[in-house]
Amino acid sequence: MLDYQTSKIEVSRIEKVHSEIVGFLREVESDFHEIPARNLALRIENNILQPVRYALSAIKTIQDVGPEQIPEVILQKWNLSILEVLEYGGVDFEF
Amino acid sequence: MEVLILNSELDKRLINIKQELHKSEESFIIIANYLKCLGRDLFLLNKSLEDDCSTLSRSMADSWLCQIDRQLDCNYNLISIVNKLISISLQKESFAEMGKFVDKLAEVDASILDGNVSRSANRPVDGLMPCVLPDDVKKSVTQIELNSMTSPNNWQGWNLRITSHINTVNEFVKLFPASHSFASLPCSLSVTLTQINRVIKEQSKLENLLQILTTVQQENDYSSVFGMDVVIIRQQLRPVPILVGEDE
Repeated sequence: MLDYQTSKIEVSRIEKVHSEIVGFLREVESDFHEIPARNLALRIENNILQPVRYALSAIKTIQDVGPEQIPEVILQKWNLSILEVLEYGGVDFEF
Repeated sequence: MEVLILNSELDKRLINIKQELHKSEESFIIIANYLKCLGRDLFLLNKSLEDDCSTLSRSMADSWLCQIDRQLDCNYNLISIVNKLISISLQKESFAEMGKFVDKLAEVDASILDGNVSRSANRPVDGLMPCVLPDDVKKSVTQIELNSMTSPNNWQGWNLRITSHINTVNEFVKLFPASHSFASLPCSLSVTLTQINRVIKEQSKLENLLQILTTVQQENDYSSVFGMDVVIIRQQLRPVPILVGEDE
C-alpha cells in the first residue's frame, strides 16, 4: 500500500515547483518571448499541474475517507495516478 | 406382569421418540422458514448484481429447502408410525405385524439415545434433527423473518443483512455433522454468502464515495476534479435491490 502522507508531501512539493514556474512564465514580458512563454505555461498547466492536482485531491480524499473505504476500482486508478506523478511529475511524455 | 412392565417401558420410549420427532419437525420448519427468507433475499440480490455467486447461492438454498422438505416427509412418516405403535401398545396388541416399522423406529431411538449420552450431534437418521436447535438460533431466525418484511434501502443495509445471514448459516454448519445428508450445503452456502458480501461491501463503498464526490462542499468541491471517477462509479454501481411495491 502507498504511504499517502509521504506521497502527499512529495506531490505538494512538485505542485509548488511547477506552480512557481507557471507563475514565472506568465509574467514574462518580452515581444519575442511572451507568446512562447505563455504557451509553455499552458502546456505545463495541462500536462503536469492538472495530473499533479488530481493526484493531490485523490490523496486528500483517500486520507479523509480512509483507503479501506475506497472501492477497489477507484483506489487502483488513484494509486496509479499518484505513482505516475511521483515517477514522471505528471504525464509520461513519449518523444 | 413382566409383559406389562415391558409395555409400560415401551410406551415411555415411544412417547419420548414422538416428542423428539415433534421437536425435529419444529426445527425443520424453522430452518425451512429461514431458507425461504434467505431465498427471497438472494433472489433480489441476484436480480440486481447479476453475478454467478448469487445464482449459485440461490440454487444451494433451494436445494437445501428441498432436502428439508424430504426430511419433513420422513419425519411425518415416523410420527405416524410411532402414533400407530403407541395405540397398539396401549391396546396391548401384538407388534408381530409391525416388525419392519419397529426396526425403523429402533434407528431413531438409538440416535436419540446417542445424543443424550454424548450431548452432541447424534447419528444421522432421516426425519430426525441431529441435535436440538439452540434458542439463540431460533431467535436470530425470527429476527431475520421480521427483517425480511422490508428490504434495506441502501447497500450498507444489505451488507448488514447478509452478515446476519452468514452468522445464522454458520450456526447451522455447527449443528449438522459431516455425515448428515445435507451437511455440505450450509458450509458451501456460508462460503458463497461471504463472497456475495464482498461484492456488496464494494457496492456500499461505491455508494458512499459517490455521495462524497457529488455532494458540493464548501472546502472540498470534488465535482470538477473527479468528474471521470463519478462516471466510473455510476457505471459500476448496481441498483439497490427492492421488493416489488416498495418503490412506490
